[in-house]
Amino acid sequence: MTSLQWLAVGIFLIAYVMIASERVHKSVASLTGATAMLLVGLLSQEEAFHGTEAVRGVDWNTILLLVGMMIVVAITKETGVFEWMALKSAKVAHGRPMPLLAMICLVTAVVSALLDNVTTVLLVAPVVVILCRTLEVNAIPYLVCCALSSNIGGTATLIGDPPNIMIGSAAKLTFIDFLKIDLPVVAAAFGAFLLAVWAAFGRRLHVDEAHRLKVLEFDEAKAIHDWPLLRKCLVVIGLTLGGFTVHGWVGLEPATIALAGACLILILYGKSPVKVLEEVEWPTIFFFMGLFIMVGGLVKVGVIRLLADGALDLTGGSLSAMTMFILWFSALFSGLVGNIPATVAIISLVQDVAQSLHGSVGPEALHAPNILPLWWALSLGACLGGNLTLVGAPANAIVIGISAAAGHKVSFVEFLKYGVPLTLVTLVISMIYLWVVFLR
Amino acid sequence: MVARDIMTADVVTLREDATAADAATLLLGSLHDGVPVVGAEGQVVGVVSYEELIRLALPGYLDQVDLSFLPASAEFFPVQANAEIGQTPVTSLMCRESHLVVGPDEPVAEVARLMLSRGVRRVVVVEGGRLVGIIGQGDIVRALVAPLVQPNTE
Repeated sequence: MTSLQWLAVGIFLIAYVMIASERVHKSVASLTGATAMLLVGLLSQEEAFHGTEAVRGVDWNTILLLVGMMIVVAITKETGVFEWMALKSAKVAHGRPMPLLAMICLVTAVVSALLDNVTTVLLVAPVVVILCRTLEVNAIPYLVCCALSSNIGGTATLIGDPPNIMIGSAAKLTFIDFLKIDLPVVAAAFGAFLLAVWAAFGRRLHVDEAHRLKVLEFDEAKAIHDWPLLRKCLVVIGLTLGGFTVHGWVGLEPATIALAGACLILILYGKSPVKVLEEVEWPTIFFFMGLFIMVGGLVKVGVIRLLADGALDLTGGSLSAMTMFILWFSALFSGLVGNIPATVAIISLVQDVAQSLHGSVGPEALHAPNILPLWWALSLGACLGGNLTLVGAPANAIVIGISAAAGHKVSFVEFLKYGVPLTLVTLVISMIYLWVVFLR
Repeated sequence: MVARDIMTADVVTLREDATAADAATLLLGSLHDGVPVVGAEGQVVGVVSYEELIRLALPGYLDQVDLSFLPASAEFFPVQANAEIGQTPVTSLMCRESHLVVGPDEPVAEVARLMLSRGVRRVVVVEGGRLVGIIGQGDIVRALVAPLVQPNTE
């Protein structure tokens, strides 16, 4: 490696270690790493901000899709619909512990597939704490499974989980592509996840009849405090999802659809947008920008190219081996540094593999039969791998934070006891699925 | 008019090893809604008020959740058992930032401005590193209103 390559790797590794260890706030670590690369001239500002043929730079399609959906969610959450869904789950389950666990997981997974995972768990988890406390049942399995379900559900769609948003944008895959390929395997993996959870906790969760009746007294209708706004939000979410399903056919990028949804809801909202726009998770947005620029630096100096060639050598040109390598590598890397930073890096790796094998990164190369399975392996590996550890996905840290504030501390190691076995179940199902669909 | 003129000089304080239960007992039996926590050297390390005690039972992660769904029969929702809450040390729940420190010669107008701009209900008056008084919002209002209703005849 050249000295420039060592410099780029050095900056990248320091930033990623800071992000993983949380010694420095992830947004600061990421932006500082990116700015350091710009300062020493590893890549130009033009390449970083606008991208070129060779260096993608900041992916505005991802950034503005995230912003658009965050605006839609920021207004929707004001209606109380998230709390309503969590309470409704308890009612449907009649306050029985195992059905409640399953319903909480199901609701979290479905909502996370359609909306932002972090907001979903931020509003569902506190209600779960209240439910568990009322039922006098251990809240930890409920909370951890809530986080895990959020990441599994998010895997199902293009907009469900940040890794998928970035993969869809980079690989030019549509919302429908994700429904066709990811949704079936996610449904199977989620079913297996629920079975595993039932096997682990089914007989250990007990609720007194008196406590169960208390939960049935909760009035979920009162959780909705703005019916007219809820109706508007549901219409906008419906239209936005409709827009996503046809974006490939009408030739519009997902970010355009998300921004249209955001504008429509801001207009219908009628109140001042200032608070709503402040609620966009700007630290996360800056985190993404920094990651894109840092990985752009690695691409520019050819480090990713070396890794891509290394991966091709390692797998000896076998598509099956390469697909499985991407699946497990992205899962482990996600568990180590978080699935967002991992995905940004591995996307470039897959692009360089396409460049090596097809001499281009155009749509035909990205969708070639020997490249396409790699995108799906990355999607499944990174999204599901987010469940491996506490740092794997943003929703995990949010839920564990709420759990700790409620007096139920979950350590890094304790999270692994849930995360590792349940992630292995979903990854093995993904392996079988990828083999059956693409590699057989 | 300066801080010294309107402060309560005889301040009841808590020691650093006091618990939430001690703070609640003290506050409920006094006219003040906040009490300074004082270290061994007489230095102020924080202030505990009713807000921090309520916060103990209703932690921040519930701030975004509308709790109107709780039925009338539900108890007030404590996240930890009451006994545990009582044993929480004041040093872990007291507010270190919102207690504002002023000198005894600070103009009352500045004290009032600090209260409004920082959103605090009381400031502690410190001289030479030691607590010498406390000023609540009531003290400010009294200073403002008293001249209006009882014209100074001097």
